[in-house]
Amino acid sequence: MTTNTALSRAPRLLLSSTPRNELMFIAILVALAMLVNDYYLDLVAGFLGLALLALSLDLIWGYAGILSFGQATFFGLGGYALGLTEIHWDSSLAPVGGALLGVVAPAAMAFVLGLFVFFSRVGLFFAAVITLALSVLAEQMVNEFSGLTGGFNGIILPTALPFSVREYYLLSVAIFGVTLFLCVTLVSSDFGRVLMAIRENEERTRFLGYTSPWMKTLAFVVSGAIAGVGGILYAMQTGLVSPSYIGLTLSTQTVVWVAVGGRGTLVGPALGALLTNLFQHILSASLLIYWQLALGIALILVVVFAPDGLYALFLGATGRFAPASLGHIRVRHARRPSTTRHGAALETRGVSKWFGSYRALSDVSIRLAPAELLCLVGPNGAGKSTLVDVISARTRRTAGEVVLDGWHANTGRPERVARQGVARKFQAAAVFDRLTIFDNLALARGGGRIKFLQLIRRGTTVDLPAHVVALLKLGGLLQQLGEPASELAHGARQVLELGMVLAQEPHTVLLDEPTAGLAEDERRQIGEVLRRLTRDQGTSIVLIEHDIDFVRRVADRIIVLDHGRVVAEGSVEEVTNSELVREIYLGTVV
Amino acid sequence: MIEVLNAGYAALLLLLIAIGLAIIFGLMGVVNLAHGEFLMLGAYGALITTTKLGTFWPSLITGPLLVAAVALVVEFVLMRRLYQRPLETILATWGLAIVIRQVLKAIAGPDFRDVPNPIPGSVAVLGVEYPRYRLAVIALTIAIVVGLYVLQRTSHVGLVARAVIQNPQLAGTLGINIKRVYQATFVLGSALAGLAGALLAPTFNVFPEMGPPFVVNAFLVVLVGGVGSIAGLVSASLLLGIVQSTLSRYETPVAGTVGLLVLAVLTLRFLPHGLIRRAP
Repeated sequence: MTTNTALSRAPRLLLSSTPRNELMFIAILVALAMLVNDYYLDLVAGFLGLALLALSLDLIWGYAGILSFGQATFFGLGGYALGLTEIHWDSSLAPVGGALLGVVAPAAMAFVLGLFVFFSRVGLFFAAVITLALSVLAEQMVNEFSGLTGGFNGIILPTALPFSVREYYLLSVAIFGVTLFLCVTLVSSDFGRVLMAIRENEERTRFLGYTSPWMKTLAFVVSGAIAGVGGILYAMQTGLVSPSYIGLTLSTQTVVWVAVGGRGTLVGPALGALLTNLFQHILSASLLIYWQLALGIALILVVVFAPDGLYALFLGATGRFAPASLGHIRVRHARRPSTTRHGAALETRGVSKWFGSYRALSDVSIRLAPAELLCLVGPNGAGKSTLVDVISARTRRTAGEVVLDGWHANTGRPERVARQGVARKFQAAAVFDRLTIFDNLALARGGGRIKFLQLIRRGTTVDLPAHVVALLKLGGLLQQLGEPASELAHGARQVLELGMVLAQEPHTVLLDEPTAGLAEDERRQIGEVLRRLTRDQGTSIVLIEHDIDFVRRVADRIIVLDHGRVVAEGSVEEVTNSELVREIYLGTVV
Repeated sequence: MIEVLNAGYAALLLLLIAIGLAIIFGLMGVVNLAHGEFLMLGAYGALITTTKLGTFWPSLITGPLLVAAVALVVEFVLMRRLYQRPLETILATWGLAIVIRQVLKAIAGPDFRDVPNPIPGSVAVLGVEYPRYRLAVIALTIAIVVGLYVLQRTSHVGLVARAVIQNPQLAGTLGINIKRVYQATFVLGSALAGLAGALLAPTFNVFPEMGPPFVVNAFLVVLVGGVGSIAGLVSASLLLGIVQSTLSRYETPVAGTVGLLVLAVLTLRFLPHGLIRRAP
């Protein structure tokens, strides 16, 4: 049953419901066909292929945060697929078949690469490095296998286009326009929201249940296909494919167009590609050096002073920057009770965690009863956070077992734990800074799943259980659903993240110092929220906490950790009165 | 025997071009994509010195000094704005690389230039004739690396550097001036690129676009080696250099490049922290 309650001044529609700037951009391109002579139309038609290349990079870099130095490889692969098919397949269908192959082949390569890159715990620079290597490799290969690819000279496409220049230009604009709107749709969908969440904080996204490696791979595949289309268009216009289409130089130029044009704006990078290439073509050779120099300086200035790029500056100046997405919050009854069926909400059996020779946890066995609020206390370095990390699969344990409501958790993937109904809050509030509060909540409520339709649609309503809405109200968040989370004060961020954790309606929550840095009044309120959660929703809670007064107020039971071992366990009175615990906290009592 | 010398030479060449980048990356977490251009500037320094003075050897001083001066300005104007933004430094230093290349093109023209080999001819080593200049490069590279290792292990400067690598904030609270350390690091690392460029000038074509292949290789060596470890850097150079030179000899130079890239990518996929991981 759903109770509809208007809680916020929610605009009915969200961002870019009418992507005005994008439409205007396409309209200008169409108008050019009437205004400009064939020479320039021909040029711009080719540059639209490069603009697609820029779009393809923006999709993964601007939205999903994956910096690729190898976009030209997909682009060039598209071109070569077309060229080679036309040469080796003696059929009138060859251009069509080649174009198809030119889309499918880069997409397939992106898929394989995505599986290889995104599914491992690799360093910050791995995607950049592997795509860089890819660019260099591709160029070397093309030059090496010159029998097939024509080597340095490339391939002349044998099939002449059956269009006039103007027709071909309009065809290019149509293809570009369709792709642009596809991108706009994709990034404004629920899926696009997940991509941006990954960009902002991939770990948080995984802890909300999203399998980020698959999401990134999917984005990469789409990006590869778009780059392939760009390569086909460019090859058709130039009538040629050569190693410069596939190598590092074009790849790095694309990075510059996107960075200067404006990451995460789609139109910006496309404009960057169009205008840069147009200038390069118009300027004489002697001026070209200075143009390149200016471009280098522009890149530096943008990185330092305007990281969102020139188009974002322009949007800001004209007040047209797409308003942050908004929607309704609706109250509904909680799925009652969201709790456990197997006796214990959570159990660890003999869990150990070693970092090299350092034993962060030794043989820790704890048991959390349904609807119990268990406090983990202990001095710094006792292993509290490590225990929560192990339970939530943030860290692999060295030995032992973790059982979550009857499910034997044996995974290095936090999203699986999240989907089993165990949600986690981080010590330093982890929210998605550049997304709105509404988006943050929608992501949490999404439950880690993206259905096919969510690739093209965006949910405008989030149904939240009453107790979560009450919590958000407490933090004053309902009045600012359209604000980016970065605008929030420290306390409100903590409340938002707690709200996101509870919005998943987990049977068990792991809270790492949820009241750190909050005022006394706020702490008391959070304490009440947690008490009600166990009582009314039957949620089980593990709480790491330093403030013993707070613990006294809320805990059902306390476990004391010291040097990675459980040293005491019992009711609040038992533990706080224990000599041992005093010793641990205060040193030996004299 | 000649294969062993060639493999060793290839490995030391990688080490030489990577070490400056490794120091900057290890200490500051900054990826300097203009490293190849600093190397190129060092080579032009050697070109000018050799032309003006009629002798090559002072280049080994003037080359690094020229680059150190440029790096000092770059650090002051650009780098210090980006210290907490590692991914942004990639972009900014790439912009810097473009700027340096274009300025050089405007001043010196795009053509290939030659720095004559100061000690031509070859000499018998271990039973084979080997180019004398290559032997000089090998000796100097080993001297540079050993010198840096000793500096890091025994001097106060090395201690400060290790402290900053371990924990910049903590080092800062101990009264270490982090900004000065970063400044000195950036200048030193860049000067080493200049030295590499000067030293290699007689063995490569010198031209404004010569940088990018160097930085790609250096970057891979640094990542494969593992951040902050000289031992890792040396082992990565050996591994990649030997594979590259062996494949180049028995297959083709392209196979050498491909082998190096594939090996580097595979290593990083399965050992994300590189060959030698600094203790956490």
